[in-house]
Amino acid sequence: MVNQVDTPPRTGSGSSPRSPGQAARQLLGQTLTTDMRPLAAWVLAIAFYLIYAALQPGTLSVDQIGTLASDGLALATLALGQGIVILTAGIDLSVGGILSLGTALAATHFTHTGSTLVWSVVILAIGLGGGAVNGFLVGWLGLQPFIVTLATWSIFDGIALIVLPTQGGSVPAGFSDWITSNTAGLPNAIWAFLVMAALWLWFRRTRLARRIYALGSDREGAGMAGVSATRTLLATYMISGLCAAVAALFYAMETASGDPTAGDGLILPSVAAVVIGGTSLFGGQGGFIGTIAGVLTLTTLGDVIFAVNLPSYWTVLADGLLLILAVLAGGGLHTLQQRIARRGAS
Amino acid sequence: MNTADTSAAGELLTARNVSKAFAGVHALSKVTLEVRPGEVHALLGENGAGKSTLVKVVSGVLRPDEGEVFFRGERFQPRDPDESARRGVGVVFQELPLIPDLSVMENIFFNRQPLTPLGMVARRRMRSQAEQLFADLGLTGIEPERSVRDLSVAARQFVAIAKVLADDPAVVILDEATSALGPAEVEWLLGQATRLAALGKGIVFISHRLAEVQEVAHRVTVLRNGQNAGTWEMGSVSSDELIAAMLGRRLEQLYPQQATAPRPEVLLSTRELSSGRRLRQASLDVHEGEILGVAGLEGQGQLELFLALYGVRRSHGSITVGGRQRRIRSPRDALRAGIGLALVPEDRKTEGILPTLSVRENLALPILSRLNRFGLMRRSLEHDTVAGVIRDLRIGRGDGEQTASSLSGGNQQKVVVGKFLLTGARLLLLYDLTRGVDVGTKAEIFRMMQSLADQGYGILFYSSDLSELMNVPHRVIVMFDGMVSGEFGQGEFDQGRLVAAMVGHAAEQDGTGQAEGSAADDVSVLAPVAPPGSVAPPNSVPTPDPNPASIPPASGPGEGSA
Amino acid sequence: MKQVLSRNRPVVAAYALVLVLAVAGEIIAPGFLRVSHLDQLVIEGSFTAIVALGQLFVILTGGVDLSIPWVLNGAAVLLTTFAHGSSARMAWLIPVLLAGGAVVGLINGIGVTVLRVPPIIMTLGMSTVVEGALLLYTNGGSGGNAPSADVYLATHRWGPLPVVSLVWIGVLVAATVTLSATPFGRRLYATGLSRRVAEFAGVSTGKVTATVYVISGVAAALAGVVLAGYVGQSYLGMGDPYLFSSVAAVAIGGASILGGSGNYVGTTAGALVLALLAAILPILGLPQSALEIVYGCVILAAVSISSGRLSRRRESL
Repeated sequence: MVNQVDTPPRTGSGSSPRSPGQAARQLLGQTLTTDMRPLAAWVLAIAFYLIYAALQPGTLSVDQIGTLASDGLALATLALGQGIVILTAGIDLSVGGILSLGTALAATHFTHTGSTLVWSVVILAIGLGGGAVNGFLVGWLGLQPFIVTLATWSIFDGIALIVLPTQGGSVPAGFSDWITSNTAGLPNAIWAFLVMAALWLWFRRTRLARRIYALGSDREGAGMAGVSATRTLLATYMISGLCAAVAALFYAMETASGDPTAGDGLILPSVAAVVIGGTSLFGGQGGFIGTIAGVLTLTTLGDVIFAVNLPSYWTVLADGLLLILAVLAGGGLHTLQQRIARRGAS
Repeated sequence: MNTADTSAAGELLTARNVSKAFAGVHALSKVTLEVRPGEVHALLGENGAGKSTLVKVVSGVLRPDEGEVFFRGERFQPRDPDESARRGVGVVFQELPLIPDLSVMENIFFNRQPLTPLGMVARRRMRSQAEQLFADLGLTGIEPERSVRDLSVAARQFVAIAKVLADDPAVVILDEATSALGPAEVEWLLGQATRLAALGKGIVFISHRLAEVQEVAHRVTVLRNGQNAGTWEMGSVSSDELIAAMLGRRLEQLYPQQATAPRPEVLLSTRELSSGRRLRQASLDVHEGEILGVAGLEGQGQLELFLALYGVRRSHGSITVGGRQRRIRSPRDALRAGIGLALVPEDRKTEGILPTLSVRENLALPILSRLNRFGLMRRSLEHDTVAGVIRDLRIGRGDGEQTASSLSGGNQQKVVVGKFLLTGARLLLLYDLTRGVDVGTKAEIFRMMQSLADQGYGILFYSSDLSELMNVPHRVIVMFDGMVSGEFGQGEFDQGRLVAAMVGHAAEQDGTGQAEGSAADDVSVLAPVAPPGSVAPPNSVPTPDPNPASIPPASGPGEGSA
Repeated sequence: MKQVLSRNRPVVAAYALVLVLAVAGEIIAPGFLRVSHLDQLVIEGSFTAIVALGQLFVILTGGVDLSIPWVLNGAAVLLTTFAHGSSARMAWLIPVLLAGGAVVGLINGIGVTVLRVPPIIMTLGMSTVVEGALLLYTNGGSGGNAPSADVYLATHRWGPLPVVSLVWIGVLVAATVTLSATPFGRRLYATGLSRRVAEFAGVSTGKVTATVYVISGVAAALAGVVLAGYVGQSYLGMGDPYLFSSVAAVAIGGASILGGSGNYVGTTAGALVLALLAAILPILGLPQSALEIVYGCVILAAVSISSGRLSRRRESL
């Protein structure tokens, strides 16, 4: 139905710029959207990989990429869930504990195919359950994510140590072989990445994902728009717990043994990968495609350090520095974008 | 929509005897509102009269302490505005709660996005639905896939309205929907309201602008101090009666008597002060004993001015206090220079005081270094020092150990100001102190300001309410486009000229000229908002007209704040 | 007196818990409360108590310090390595190590205030950096033996009290006085309650925030020095339990995780509770790893309970 007013109002958001300078700024503001950050992350990841390739010839084969993929698979899975939590402006420290517990259980209870299957389900259930506890406390009681997940991290770590007091145990060869074998020509690890990416591309277009973004972007506005913080956060942390459990399975495959403190050293990299990939710690922006780049960057960095014969402890140092740098870069880029976008919009 | 859908009494939406209190302050007391199908029902009232609270109760954001809401004859208690809209009562809130990181179309169809068989949001379908919606409403120029974060306030207003209308609700509540719009856009909105009413919907139009209400409403309900002050058919009530209902008492009682004239000594002086993009070149003087009012549309630099004077924002240009030029880079510098700032952004309660601490602890915060010896606090000195201010300003029960949260709004404001008196500040910056405050508290605040001015303090006072600016300060300056665009001494307060200066005309009575390059983001066409004729006839004693032009509530301090 | 008690309900509750646990311990294992055992409890609790001081101050500003374990470890390792068993060297070593902790804390502080990095991330990052540096330095090995003076400090008694408990008491007095009776304490609470209001009132919230991280770094280093004496040596990973325990002690003591409320008297009770639990668990036949589970549950319980109180208070605003 056309309205009666002769001239529809100019709404200002698409108004024509008043000068070439403003036009340029408007264009720049529109291109420098947050979609740029995952792209930057991929550029970084590829750059790192090329450096690695230069140091270690022969790395550009499918097999080698497959090895890279299997090295980073557990971290990537962890980062998938962590990234979704960070979208709500939260953080999940308990993923480390869930991973530790998962590998401990795998190393002690995976004896043959039957028990492997059964206990895999148990591990996944633990991941979901732990996530549910986190999600309930954060969503329903409104507690701060870091303190809740710090506590559950401690609990899972403790349980892991009871299950497997020291490094050891083993998993069936059939189980651990999966990660190094190929299917239809591609290494399984790469398939895993592709599947996770596809899952993400589907997930981010679901209504649940929109609610997650909304919650992180503007908590109050999301509430007014009908988002139940309680239910959405419950789902969010359960997804993260599930991812951590899957990561535990991948980790067990990769190392073929158990380590009750395995997860502790992966928490920081999971957050780092997410931040490097362009997701904002304050919620509402980012995605897994960028996170994959972050994972690849960190994994390749580890390989580079190995290739130049530096002690592996440098990886630990470098990861910490990279996280801080990535946060600073992200923050700086964000402010820059905002300033340019504001000038372009008026 | 036909009348058969409505309840027996012909009402579509009814709020009956609704009461709501916050911390002992009654925002609503037994308020009743009836909306019929096919009518535009205006809800009129001063800032703080309870209009927005009522809307929040109806839409489910708040639960009433008393009373009930009925929609189509049945009890109506939605969980949130989203459910409210789905069930037929759509609300466009004053704060425009849109999700910044989502696109326009994602916001409009939030929680109702069209889905593909796999459960994914169908982008193309959503986009064409959005475009269809905009076409139906006659809106052009909004790009559905644009992120809301990048839109101007006016554009967001349109998106918020479109979002509500997308659900085709039977009742549409517009809470101060015109505050961010320019005149042509306001006309569009009023036209929409009329059109929707003609379709049989019930429209609740909330505003504090009399002219708009008179143009579009069939009936009007006035709220005052959280209570009903009358409901009339629009044709049968005069402007004066409505104003009287809104204010409830003779105007002279609200505003204190004009006090002593300011002294000639200049307390604060700025020359070519600039800060960021919005404050370009402000030059002004505040004299001892003077209340200098600042008027301006949203975003004209007045907030930046206050923040720059207080050192919260970096600035260039000169600031001279008491004859000495000062470099003010932080609030500490400002305090040392004798400036105090009482700023009231959106969240009033937490921005000025620390509610869980006592009055004494709040008051002592800026002067801690004076109250300690060898690093330890001197309790008795602290007690005696704050007791003076508590007594002079009549804060609460007069007990310094009272918890700040237990004070009334007005008393909390006094604590905010009182803090700075103790620091020896001679110049007080009061930014929108009276927004959302009930009339009784306002009167208290004005009395305090007057008495401070009498004692020689200088006050720079920004308000979004024109009638306050015309009655309390000695002089008023107008901010437009980052500069002082007009200055009005006592006796020169003329609403028309004030408004003209606020929209960028140089002192023209009815400003029909086209002004160029208006940097006001939110005004697209320039013309006085109030059509001549609905303004109270000018006479020698300016009668404050509760019909201030385009003054949206100022947004809180954004960039650059601590 | 009743007013003081009612306003400090969480602290009182924490001490009640201490009493309950002490009695329970005695019931389960008679002799639990004999002096020599109490001594040991106090000594073991003091390490948590010292790091919890820093954690408390940081949490009061609304942050958290995840770098405590590795600063502690670093100080311990560097002490044993450089002292070479000589007590005399401790005279200059200890101040240097404390200064080192301060430096790490300062970096954390600058990151949080100037660079606006969220505290979790900044301290998590620094934790990893310090860990990496330490690993590189020691090449994964352990650090050697503690000098005898250190051991003396950590294990001996002066009269009725263990020496270490005097450190604890000193910390208790200093912290309580600072928080309740100095301008810094007032500014600290104000910063935690609302940075903006504090800033507008002329408080340098940046300086206050950076200072608490420095305090935390120093406290962690101090704990590392003393712990090395108690254990007799240093090894990698000795700081790990102290992240959870420092946060748990602060939470049990009634401080709000959001900042702005809480005090060290409560945190002391928290450290005592944890020490008691650590002593009771072995008696019940539970392994040490169960302690981590307990820490986690205790943190959750403490935070859930205080959130209930907080929401009731928020309602009334």
